[in-house]
Amino acid sequence: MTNRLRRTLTGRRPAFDDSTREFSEKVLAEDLEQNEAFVKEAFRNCLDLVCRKIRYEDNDLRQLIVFLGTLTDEQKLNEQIMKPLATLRQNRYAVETEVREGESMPVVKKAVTSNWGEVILFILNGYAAVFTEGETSAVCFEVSSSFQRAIEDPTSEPVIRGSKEGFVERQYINFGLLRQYIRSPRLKAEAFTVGDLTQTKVLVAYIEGLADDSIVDEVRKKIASIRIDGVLESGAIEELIVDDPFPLLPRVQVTERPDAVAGGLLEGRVAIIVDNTPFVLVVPVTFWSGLQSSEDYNLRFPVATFTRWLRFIFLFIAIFAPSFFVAITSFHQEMIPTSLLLSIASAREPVPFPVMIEALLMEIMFEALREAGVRLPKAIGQTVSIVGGLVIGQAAVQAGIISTPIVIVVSTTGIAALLIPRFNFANGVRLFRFPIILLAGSFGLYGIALGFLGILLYVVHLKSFGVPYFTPIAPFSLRAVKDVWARASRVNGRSLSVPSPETAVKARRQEGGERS
Amino acid sequence: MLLVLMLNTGCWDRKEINDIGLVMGTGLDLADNGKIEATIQVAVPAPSGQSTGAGSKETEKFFLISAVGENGIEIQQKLQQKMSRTLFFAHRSVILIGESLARKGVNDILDTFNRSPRNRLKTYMLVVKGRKAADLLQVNYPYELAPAEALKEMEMLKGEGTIVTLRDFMIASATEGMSPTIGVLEPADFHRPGEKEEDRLFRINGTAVFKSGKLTGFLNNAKTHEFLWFRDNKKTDKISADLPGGKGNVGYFITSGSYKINADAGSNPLKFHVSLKAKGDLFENNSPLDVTDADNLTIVKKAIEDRIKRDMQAFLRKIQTGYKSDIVGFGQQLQRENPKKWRTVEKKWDQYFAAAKISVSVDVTINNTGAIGPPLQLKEKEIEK
Repeated sequence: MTNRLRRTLTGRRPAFDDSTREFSEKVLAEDLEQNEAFVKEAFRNCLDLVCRKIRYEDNDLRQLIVFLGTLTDEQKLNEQIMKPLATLRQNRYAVETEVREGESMPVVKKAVTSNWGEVILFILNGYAAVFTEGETSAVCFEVSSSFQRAIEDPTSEPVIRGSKEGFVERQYINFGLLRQYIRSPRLKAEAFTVGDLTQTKVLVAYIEGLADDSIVDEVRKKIASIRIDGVLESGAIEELIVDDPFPLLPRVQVTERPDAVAGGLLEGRVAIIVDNTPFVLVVPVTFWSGLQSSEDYNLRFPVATFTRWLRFIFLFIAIFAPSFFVAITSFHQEMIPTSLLLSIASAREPVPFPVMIEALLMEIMFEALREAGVRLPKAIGQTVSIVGGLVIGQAAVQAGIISTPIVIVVSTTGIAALLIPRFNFANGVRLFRFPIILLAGSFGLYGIALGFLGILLYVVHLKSFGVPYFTPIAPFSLRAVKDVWARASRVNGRSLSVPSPETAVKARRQEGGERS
Repeated sequence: MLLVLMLNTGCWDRKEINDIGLVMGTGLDLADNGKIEATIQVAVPAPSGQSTGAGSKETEKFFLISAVGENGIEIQQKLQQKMSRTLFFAHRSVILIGESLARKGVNDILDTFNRSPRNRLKTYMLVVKGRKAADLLQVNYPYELAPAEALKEMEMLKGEGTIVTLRDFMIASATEGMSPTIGVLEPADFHRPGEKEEDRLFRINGTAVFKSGKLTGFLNNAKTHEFLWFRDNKKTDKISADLPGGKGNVGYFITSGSYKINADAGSNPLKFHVSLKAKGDLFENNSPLDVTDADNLTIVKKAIEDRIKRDMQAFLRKIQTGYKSDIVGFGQQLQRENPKKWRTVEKKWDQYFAAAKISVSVDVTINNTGAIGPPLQLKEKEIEK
């Protein structure tokens, strides 16, 4: 039982995938030389493989310790394996049982196996495998080194008030951070291994009883069914578990923040923690959660509500501002107040392009600047922003290539997109802008209305792990909708720590179940 | 498909701002040959960068083009031929009508302003007194970008003149027992130093009275103020009244006013009663009266009421006998109260209206007399308490 739990927690679940499949049929030999040759063959041309033979002279016991020098902690290896083995060398049987049972070996995790596939997998996970002459099973001790960076401020999602801890690249540390938040045995973590070559460890975490079983099942099923040679980041997992060939809007929440994940877990969501990346996936999500920041729940609710409304407004601006400008200036001039029209007209007087081309040009230029700002080394970043700002804002206007109003519109739109707290949601939203500018430039406000309807249809038809994307607006739930339009206030003793649309979906389902 | 959309964008009713000529105002005059001469004022958007430069002063903010034609479509076509940009009428803020054309009648030409959805019914209408409408469009107004804009702004200063939009005019024309009016614009003297030219500005002054589409006469400024009682427009007005016994005068500032017309259909000639109610503040007290005293206040109130009543009666006399034009809507009131009677007088309403006896009663409320009672400069014994 303890063994199983341990395995569950660390993700050391035997897996038989391609990289070890060829070995999985084979079992260990009694002969040490034969075993050594086998390992060396399996790891041929791997410079980090270390095979150490130990020979106890007094009783002729020979042992072989195999590990990967790059993955193991030398100190651990010495303290926990070499030393105990050295002190116990008098008795062959003692050593043998000692090694097998590992009772007085100061090692936390160990496993005994006679299958080559498993042995090799353990070695690949930073274990040291100890083979004993005459034994057909090897004992594997965990001596992996834990190189990792320090826990730092999550750079992609900074907050003013809230935890400053961000996830790191090591999965077990990330889950440990979650444990810090939720100290309950109901917080479960199921391990999966994904990627035939990379053998990436994937953890599915949820709170038993809170998370919807059907969603947990679906996540399990989808992750287990992934067949891919390598997973380098949770993005690959995200793409493979979302059934959408063209995912414009994210169906999972991607976050670097343990508190956000813990909040999600408390809402009954499921977290997917992938090794080697600080970005944890949380499912399911709704459209509205894309507009919520984890900080909302740390602020007083009137303030947070105001911020939420600000985001709603700027979501519209982020999608529609340039197209609206294009539509009214090229189709509906009668809608603009006369004096404003005159000033727009005088600004546009030297501009050679139609408004639509101007808007598209500037939007693309802005996106390019934005992308350049992300990619460029920090030292050059500032130069780019200055040059970009000058080129676009100042010189282009003075040269009469573009007009001032479009600069205002485009920069407003740029700011508006930055107001969306979840960057993967914001990225999706940004893409909507371009087709709508085209529509606006072709059909005016009618085109914008069409585009709006199209977006609405698209969003409403989406589902995130069985939960309709527009919950709780469509399907409507009065109880949950208050956390959409406002940040619902907490009432002592009556509230969940984090009220959310998803829990409402669940509650609704349960209500419905009771009724029927 | 998007590519197709992109390539064809020029084909719809899309018009770039640089491709439209913004018509700010239209002036309608009677041409020599009896046709209509329309002059439009087209705004010239100043290229940005130049507008701030002090060197390039006096870039024209607008220009005028005109055309003579039988009807709207003909004129518009002729105007368009003179323009490199599509004429865009949606931002037209005023329509000026020259006096000569107004006297001939405007009913024949106004339809074109209403039918096209590109035109605004909220366009203001003004009659130009004694001049051609085109002359006033030419005035280079110092404030606004285009003079027509200035006119619009002037019109919006409510309470000082008759504000009539196209829509108002149409409603008044179509209403039974009512004659339409239009505000009057006239050139105002303004001499720039060193320039002899007159008519640099214009002012809104009075009201033009219409009857069946034809201008019948003008109301002067004072009469216009009385007329405003009936336009639900009595937001602000200043009245000065002489106190009885030569004690001096007071100034009264109306903050809200209302009117009510009662018709007595049974009598012959027809009788109407106009009751006016005004609320306002005492603005000025050029008398030794201490207005904090209730009795004195009654005297003041009476004086103001008398003044209003006198002015109102003069106004009513003017429109009854002078123009025989029911611009207030007594006929409409009669029709509402007694439709049967209205039908009998409808045909000859002008005559009935001219003969009708109209009595006036005024009720003035003085809300505020200011912080002081008598004028401060008076000695104690000079004050009448």
